[in-house]
Amino acid sequence: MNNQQHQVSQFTELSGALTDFNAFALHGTGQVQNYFQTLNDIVGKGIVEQLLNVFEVVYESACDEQGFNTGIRQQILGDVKLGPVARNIIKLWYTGTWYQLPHAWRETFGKSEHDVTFFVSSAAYTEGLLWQAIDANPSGAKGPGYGSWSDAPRINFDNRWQFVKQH
Amino acid sequence: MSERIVNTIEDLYQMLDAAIQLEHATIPPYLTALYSIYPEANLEATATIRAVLVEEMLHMTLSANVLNALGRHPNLLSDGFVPTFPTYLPDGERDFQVSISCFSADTLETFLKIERPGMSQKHSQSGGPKGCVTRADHSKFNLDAIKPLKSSTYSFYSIGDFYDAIIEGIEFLEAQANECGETIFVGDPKFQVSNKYYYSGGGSVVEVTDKASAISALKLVIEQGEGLSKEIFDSEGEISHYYRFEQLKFGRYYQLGDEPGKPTGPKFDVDYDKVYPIKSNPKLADFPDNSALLKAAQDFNQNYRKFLVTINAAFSGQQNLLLGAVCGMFKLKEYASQLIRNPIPTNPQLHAGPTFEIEEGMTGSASRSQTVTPGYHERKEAVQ
Amino acid sequence: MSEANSTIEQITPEQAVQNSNSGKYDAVIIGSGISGAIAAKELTAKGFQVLVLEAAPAKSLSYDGFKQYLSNYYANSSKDNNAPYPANPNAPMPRSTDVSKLYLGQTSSKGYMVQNGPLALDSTYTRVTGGTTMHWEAKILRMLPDDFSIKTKYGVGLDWPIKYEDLMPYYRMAEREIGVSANVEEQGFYGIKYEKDYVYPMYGLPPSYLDQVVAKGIDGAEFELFGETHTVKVRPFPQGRNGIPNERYQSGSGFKPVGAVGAVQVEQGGRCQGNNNCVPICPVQAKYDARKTLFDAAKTGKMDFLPQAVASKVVVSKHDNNISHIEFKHYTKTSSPEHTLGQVCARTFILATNAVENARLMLASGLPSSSGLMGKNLMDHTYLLAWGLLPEAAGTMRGTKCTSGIADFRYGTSRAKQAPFGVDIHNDGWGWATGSPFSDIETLVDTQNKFGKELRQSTVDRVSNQLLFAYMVEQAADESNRITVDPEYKDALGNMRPIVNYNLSDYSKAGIAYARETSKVFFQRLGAQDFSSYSLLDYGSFQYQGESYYFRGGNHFSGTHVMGTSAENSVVNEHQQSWDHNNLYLIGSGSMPSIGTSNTTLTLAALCFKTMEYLVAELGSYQVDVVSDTTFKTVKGASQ
Repeated sequence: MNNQQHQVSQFTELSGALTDFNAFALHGTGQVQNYFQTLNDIVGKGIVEQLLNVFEVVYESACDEQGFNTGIRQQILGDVKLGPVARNIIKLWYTGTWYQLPHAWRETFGKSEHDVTFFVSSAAYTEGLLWQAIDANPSGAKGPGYGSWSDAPRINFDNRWQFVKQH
Repeated sequence: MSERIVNTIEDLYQMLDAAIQLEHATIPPYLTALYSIYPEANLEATATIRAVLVEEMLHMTLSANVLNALGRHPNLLSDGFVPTFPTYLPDGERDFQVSISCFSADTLETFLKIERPGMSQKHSQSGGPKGCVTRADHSKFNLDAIKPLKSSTYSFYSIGDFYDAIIEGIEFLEAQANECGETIFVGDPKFQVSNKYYYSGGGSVVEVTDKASAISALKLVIEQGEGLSKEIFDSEGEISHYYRFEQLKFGRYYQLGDEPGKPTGPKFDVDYDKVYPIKSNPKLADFPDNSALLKAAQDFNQNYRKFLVTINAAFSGQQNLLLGAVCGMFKLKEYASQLIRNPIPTNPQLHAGPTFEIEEGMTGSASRSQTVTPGYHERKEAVQ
Repeated sequence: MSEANSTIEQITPEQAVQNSNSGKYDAVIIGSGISGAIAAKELTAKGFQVLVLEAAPAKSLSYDGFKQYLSNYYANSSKDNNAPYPANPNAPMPRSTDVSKLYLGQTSSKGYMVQNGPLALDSTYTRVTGGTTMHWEAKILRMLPDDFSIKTKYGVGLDWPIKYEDLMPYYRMAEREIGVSANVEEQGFYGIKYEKDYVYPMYGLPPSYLDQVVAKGIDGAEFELFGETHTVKVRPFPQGRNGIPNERYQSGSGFKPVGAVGAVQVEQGGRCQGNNNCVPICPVQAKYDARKTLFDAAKTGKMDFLPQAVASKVVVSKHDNNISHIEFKHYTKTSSPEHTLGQVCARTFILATNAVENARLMLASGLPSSSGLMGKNLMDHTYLLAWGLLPEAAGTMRGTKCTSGIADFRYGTSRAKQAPFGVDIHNDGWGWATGSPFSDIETLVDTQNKFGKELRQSTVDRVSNQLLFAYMVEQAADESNRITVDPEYKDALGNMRPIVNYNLSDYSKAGIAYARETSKVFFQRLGAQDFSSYSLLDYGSFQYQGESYYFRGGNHFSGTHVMGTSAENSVVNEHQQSWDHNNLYLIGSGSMPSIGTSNTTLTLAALCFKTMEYLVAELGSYQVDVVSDTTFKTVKGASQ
């Protein structure tokens, strides 16, 4: 595996942990490369690399899921630099939208001209994970068929992300 | 010399069973190719395959209506109904196989062969029955649809030729029955799938109650598939599957007045790179044990089977279930897309896809079509 | 993008002018929305020759053009009701995103529609081929018989010069044209009646799971109101979208739904698939839009269609006070205001833009009507939103936008004191109020600091449990609510923009306040947490009896060229014919003297059919007058 592939795979794992959708579900959206690219384009390779490295360390050093979650909170989400980026990754996956980073972050860590709020692509909109989470179709796409709305939603967590301690 | 292929009502049942199996057999390849295309890419190809796919479902329904009109229900759950891919088609075409694979130039060639126009009469093979070509390697052909018919050495050249043989058989058998004051159309009309529940962009379903409606149902299949008159556009300006696919090959639309092979309409791009590289004819065995991918592929097959169960029930009198079946189809499409977008972990250059391995015995029933009302023969015997 | 689609053939402005000069046209129709399309279809079907001018481009008439709208919508970070439709400075349209709070005495010209207050109105319409039916929701209710005489019965607003019974046959025609899905047995209430054995073209759409959850909680709730008991029952709405055709329609001849337009090689458009996106664009075109009717008109070969032609002036002939011609500005690119001027004439002129644009064009032409009522009596449905969180996942965000609602506050003696209202249960949850579900994700991630498993579960709880009631409150005619023009405000082509002057009466506010009270009862009964809040900073904010509310516009502009019984009390007669100018018809919801608690499209479409029946007779008899003696004899001779 070359470095790029390794990074993409780490990005997929991080995304899984943040969104609670497993790698199969994430790949199933067809957006992994797209989002990884978008992230790199906007926050820069350096920050992405740092984020993935911290994630790897948190993962390696956690004994159990609780410890892992604490690590994610303290080392990533609670970090001034990495937190807003990680939250953007979550929102990106759930909605297909890149949200402009907070003002303070932009002032400190650099403004990209691409850092505006936008849908990464038409497909990104329709692949937002939030719709899968609630067993609904994205408004305006993937119509589920006449009358399907009369039945109770079949919300399930089958494709959730699993913390597996590597030995 | 042209020999009639359908000579008994049993032959006709057999042929219609095969027809339903045949129409169904095109669905996995079309569906897979369709969802292998990147979203927002190859819009023309997407629209074309989608339109054809939707019409194949209509064709399956039309054939089921004809069989039901004869007093027999189709059985989509019989062993081997879903072919093992790659497969020959159930009408016995022998010069090509159909695969589950991504949209590509090769795939398009196969699609063209599936939908190729029939041989005209003058073109007919010497010695063989009408619309057939003679081939020696029948042993390889493992679909039972055609085997019991009297010739063991022929295959149909095209789907259209196959349907022509069915129409000829219906005319012959119905004339024979009429002579005795009987009809072969003894099925209960309540089993006819109607437009109330069958509803799509692919055209209207024909309820079959007699010879005329049976023939118009079957002609619709031929017309949408390969065209009736070998013209590119039919009288309603609709273009047949074969020429639709040819447009993709040429990257150019046909317009009225064009010669076959020479479209002069607007041009468009077909980009075979904007396609997920699916492993051809993927099998569950290709996916790692205990992987989410394997589970998803198994789930897909389970769901596909459920879909067939529903369709089967709909063809056996519960047509209101078609509404739910359509919803099921939409879900299947999502599941298939997810599989197709996932690289195979052990071989990331290739992507997964639905395997359509519907387990033997999963479906429970061995026989093909089922008798539901006393068929023509039973009734005839009762009268005697 | 391919062009292998069918479309409507277009003529050039030069051809239009030339044809009209040579006397080709029986009617010039301004606008290709539902009114203009029905007018075109009905007239051409009877052999009359029409010219349709459309202010917008007509790309959407092809299937690919329509797909482009869809892509625009997906990629647009705002999902407002005009999001799929590209900005066009030459024929601009209002957008709700342009509306902001107006402070005392303030006028805002930020959007196309100038807001002169005192309240800001965020209603919109869509200036594209097919008009506002491109973004409409297609919930399609008949008005109650009482709604036609609210002045007589309740002492509010204005009466119609006709009754429900007069419109009944035309309601049927409109329901056929639009293709309505509904079950008669669920719709005949509070005076609504149907001809014996009538069935709608298609069966009613199944209610959503959310509807069922709500019905379980609130059906049977009783409200005492001015001495009358109103008992609540959740009922399905008639829908202008394709469902299951009813085989009993028209004495058993059935109904054939109309699919997507412009699609030749891509059979598309069928039954509603539950894309949950009726507003602003139905991706499968199961929802009716006026292009479907326009295509029918085009098929007759008797319609000339000229898009990108904005009517700019209606010109009156001094000698008989009839309309002599209409001036238009034709542009070639939406990006440039460059245009050519032209004028077209015909035997009759039909303004079918919409309530705002009809009035705007007449006022800009210096034609305020001898009654002085042009542009006045502007009405819209006033919406109050109330939203809460159910204790269970109700499958919100699925189905068509709205499948059921409550009709039990639409009638009754209380109408003398407070505005009546209908209630919609929104399958798209809090979307209208808060921007759900995107805003929910923002809240969960950025404010509630959720991630991973907790986030996924919270997303379910926060979105799938949503319930929003949209209360559609009647607004009665009031001359001070009006559209005006002012040369100070012009668009890129130099046409005067509409100025809206808008306020809510105490009658409206009393209805809104009562609506809010009912929502509290409903939430209680459902065990739902009430999340409604009405910020003073909201652009629709107002106070009533010490409480704060905000309202939303209903996009149901009407009343601006009201119909009545005389040239003194109205702009048009019951045939939507101008009292001042015999050969001018102003059609659409602008003619409606009251709007009750029904979305206006069905009624305006019915009116349009009625008017066309009248106009066909008028044109026909006129035609006999001009037939020369010899021709007349020949024809007579031929029939012997």
